[in-house]
Amino acid sequence: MIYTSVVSKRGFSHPDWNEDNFHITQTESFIAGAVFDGCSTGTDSYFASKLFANVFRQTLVKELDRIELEQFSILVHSFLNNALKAAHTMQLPINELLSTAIIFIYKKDESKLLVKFFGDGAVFINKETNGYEEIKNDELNHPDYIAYSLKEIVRKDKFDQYWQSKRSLQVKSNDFSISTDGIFSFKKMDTSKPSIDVIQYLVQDNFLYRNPASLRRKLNILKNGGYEHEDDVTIIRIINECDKTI
Amino acid sequence: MDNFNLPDFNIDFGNFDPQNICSDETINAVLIVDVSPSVYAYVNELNSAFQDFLVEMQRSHIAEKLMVSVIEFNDTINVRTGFQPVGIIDANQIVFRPCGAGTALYDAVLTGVTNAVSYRQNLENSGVNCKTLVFTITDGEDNSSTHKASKVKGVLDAIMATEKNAFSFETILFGVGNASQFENAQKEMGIKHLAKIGNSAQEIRKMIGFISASISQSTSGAVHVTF
Repeated sequence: MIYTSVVSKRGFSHPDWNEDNFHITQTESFIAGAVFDGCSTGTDSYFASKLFANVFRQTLVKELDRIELEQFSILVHSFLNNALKAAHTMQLPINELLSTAIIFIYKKDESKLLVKFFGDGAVFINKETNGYEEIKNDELNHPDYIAYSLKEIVRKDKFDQYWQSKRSLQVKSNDFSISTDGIFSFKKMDTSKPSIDVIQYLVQDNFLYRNPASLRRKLNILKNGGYEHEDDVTIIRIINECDKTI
Repeated sequence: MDNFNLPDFNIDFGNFDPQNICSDETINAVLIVDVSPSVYAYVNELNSAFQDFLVEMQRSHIAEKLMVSVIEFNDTINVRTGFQPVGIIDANQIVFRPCGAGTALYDAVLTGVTNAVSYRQNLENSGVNCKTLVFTITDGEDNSSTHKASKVKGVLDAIMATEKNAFSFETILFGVGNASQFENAQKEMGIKHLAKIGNSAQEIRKMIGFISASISQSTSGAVHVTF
């Protein structure tokens, strides 16, 4: 069995909107997904991340059944093409398209994970008794947003260059989490309550891990325990119980 | 980590196991229904409206968040169901039949409220935020309880003294028929709202409609009660 849990919540520094978004799709062979973090200094950033999430969903509906793991870049190229078409259709300027994207594809039977970073975010690999490995892409909150070069990078020759310039991850895992950088923004608001390692609790602890609401419930427990996140946070955690060999 | 994961899920009372709730928020509705012989005059309307209520809620967009507990009482208390997702409650299995020889109103409310608080605590410990609505439907004054109304009031006052409960825990008493029979009970138990209704089919349906509306409106923001 493969269990997925997702949470996306507004941070306390954002009074009105959660500017993060996500999408995840599962087929017989693959799980593909992405987390998006709208730029707070852009315009309607919640919309940029939601637009990207919907365009990504549209892309996966058309493409995911037809591709192989090695064609991950084709999937992403197709997503960028669709994003540009959507931007043209709606006549959106660049400042309404500013969102990061951490995109992944996971081949279930091989437990093989590929990730591409387009901006700040992180991947966490649960190593069970050996803790967890954190792969953080930190562009210091000044990411090279996709929107800056969207018009150019949809051209195949430019895309290949662009693809190579972006950080990648390839790893075998049966328990991993993909997150926006909001996961690093937890603050302890009530010092009278016990301290815990928040990230370890979210990406490694197995509390209710079979329950799709596991991460959302963990965030409520953290809040009751005095922890709140300043930035919006979105996390996708996937646990593959079929493959215990890793 | 032990302080954050509380695996001791108390599922007495026939309550649904919190581990299996696939939501981070629930609306817990308790219906405490008088089935003493005097309700004979309107029990058919009540049964019909209650069945429609369950079916309506099962089809609703809030069904996956709605937990329902039903307690009936005459001179004794009978828990028809602990908190269960509305979707798995068999509407045909809950039919109220007038019987018994008295009205243990205070005991019934105390039982319903105590279980509501206990279950709410279990859910919150496991990361589920709750809104609680306690509806009591009666046509008569208490004559059989072992507990006093003041005991119920003490419990309710303690609940409402907690800040987070102030906007997420509501108690409503529906008094059917003669107001003098239940007005004092509502005040003495500290039940927040009183709605007086007649025992006609139309009035009973109106009451059930109010319960549906209150539950639906509770999905956003604080618990709403509008008469």
